[in-house]
Amino acid sequence: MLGNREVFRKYTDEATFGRIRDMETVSEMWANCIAEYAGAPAVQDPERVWTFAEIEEKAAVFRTVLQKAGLAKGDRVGLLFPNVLEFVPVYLAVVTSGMTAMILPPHLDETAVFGVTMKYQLKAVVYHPVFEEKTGFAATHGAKAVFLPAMTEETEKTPILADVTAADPALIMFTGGTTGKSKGALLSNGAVMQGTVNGCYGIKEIFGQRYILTLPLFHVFGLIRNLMTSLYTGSTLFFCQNNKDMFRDIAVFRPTVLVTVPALAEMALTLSKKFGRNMLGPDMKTIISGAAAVPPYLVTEYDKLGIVLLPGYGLTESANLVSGNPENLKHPESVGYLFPNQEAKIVDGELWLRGRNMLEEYVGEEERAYEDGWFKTGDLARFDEEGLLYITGRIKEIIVLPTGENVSPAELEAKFNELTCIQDSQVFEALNEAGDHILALEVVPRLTELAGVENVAEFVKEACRKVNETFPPHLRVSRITVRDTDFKLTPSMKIERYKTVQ
Amino acid sequence: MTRTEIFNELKDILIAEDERNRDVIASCTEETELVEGLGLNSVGILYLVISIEETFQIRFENAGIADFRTVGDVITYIQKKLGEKA
Repeated sequence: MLGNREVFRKYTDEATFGRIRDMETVSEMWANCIAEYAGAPAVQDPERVWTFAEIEEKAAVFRTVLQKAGLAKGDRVGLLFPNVLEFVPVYLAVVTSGMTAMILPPHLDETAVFGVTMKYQLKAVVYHPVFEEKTGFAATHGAKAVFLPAMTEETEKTPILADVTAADPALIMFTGGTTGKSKGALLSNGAVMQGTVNGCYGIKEIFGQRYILTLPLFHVFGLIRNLMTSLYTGSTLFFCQNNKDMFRDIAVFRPTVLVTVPALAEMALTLSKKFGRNMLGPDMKTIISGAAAVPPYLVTEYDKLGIVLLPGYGLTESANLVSGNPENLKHPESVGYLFPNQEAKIVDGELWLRGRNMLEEYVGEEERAYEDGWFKTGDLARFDEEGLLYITGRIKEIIVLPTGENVSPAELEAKFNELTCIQDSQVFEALNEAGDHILALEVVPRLTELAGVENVAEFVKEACRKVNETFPPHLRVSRITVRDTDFKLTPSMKIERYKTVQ
Repeated sequence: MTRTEIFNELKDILIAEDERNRDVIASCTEETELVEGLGLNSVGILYLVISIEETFQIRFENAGIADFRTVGDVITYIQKKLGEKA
């Protein structure tokens, strides 16, 4: 299966669709942004607004800082920043100088910063002043990198380096990969730009929007779909300083697009119901949601508020977006159509990928990213006759029953999650009183949908039993538990799965 | 507002946010721990912060619920912020 740009044409007017065009490098994109949108606001926080031209002025100065520090095309530069405006010109200076930016998660401690600097042979680490202390250990323990503060007194400007090609590396992003071990995925300029442009497809109004950033920039969903696509489309990106203030920021900034994970989308919906007003503001039109399975309930509930929620699918290794739903989606349980230049096939149920957006390699790892030219995602998937993609589970989460039959918990959970009275669910392997291995289900009820129900636990159990009966006998759960509390979440706000037989 | 009034208001917020946990919340004390005792996850904590700010019309400023261990710690902070407003 090959992604096709034409699939998305009908969702956008011709003029807008014509403006969505592939670009070779981040340098080309940024030069185009400066030419087209110079005086337009590009990024904003509660106190400041920087135009595209103002960002370029700062980036041009920082290119000089990098050059004077002895750095050149091909060098790797770590970026240690919180989500602040200052990240943007430094990141653009690095990549448009032909260097590779490695976005370091802010939660790394000083020994981890040292370890990453050594392992990935970073020539420099640029840090925001609030993280200065994290660089001290590396600077005094033999790391051969230079450590540069983001604020500079330099005034000399250096232009964008023209001599950068699509094949030149642009980014190293941390990923858990398909094996769970943290690795650095190397993404070329071409891959980053494919991921950036992919974010434009299937949405009626995509240029000149107002985005709000609540995701971390060390995650591809935040960096590419949020920041890069916002820049590419001449939109304005508001940097939320603290997620607890996001609704206050939304009331002032009035964003039109929110890129977020399902857990936060659900929180915003529940708060909207609790306080009797649309917490996402009157101008919000589109929510792009991914990084975890999106319950179809969210799509239908947001539709009632006049907001279209579009589930998509992507990986760090694919420069974020592999597939996405266009507006007026008909199958909310799908993750949409493959984006252009994305090739996919399903082998023994597993989704394999290749294409312009895919990583080059895992840096400094023995583990190879490709086998026979394909990247194995570890995700179980299927396509329907229309070419829509469905993610049905994770290979490593497969439960092998004593009978030898394989069960994908995510596939069963998706069916239970279609019940509006279910907020979250987890299917796992358990032992019954006789010591036999069984399939068990735990669910978190969605109480906003259960007002007036006298016995919530029994009501929910009965609803689950009815769904359970639609499964083939070997896939039916033998125990249903209605939880009093939410599931524990991972740092990326996914449900932490039980790792042992319960 | 007295400490008891804030405590009761906070219980109402907690119950509204997590009806399943009604019995545990209703019987909680100022010593009950937020994460261990009430089972709040990261999104639940964010939800709680936003609800408290909306209900009491206060700002957590640089502090977050993650900086507080017990229900009593939160009450003390709300009481302090309400005192500053008065």
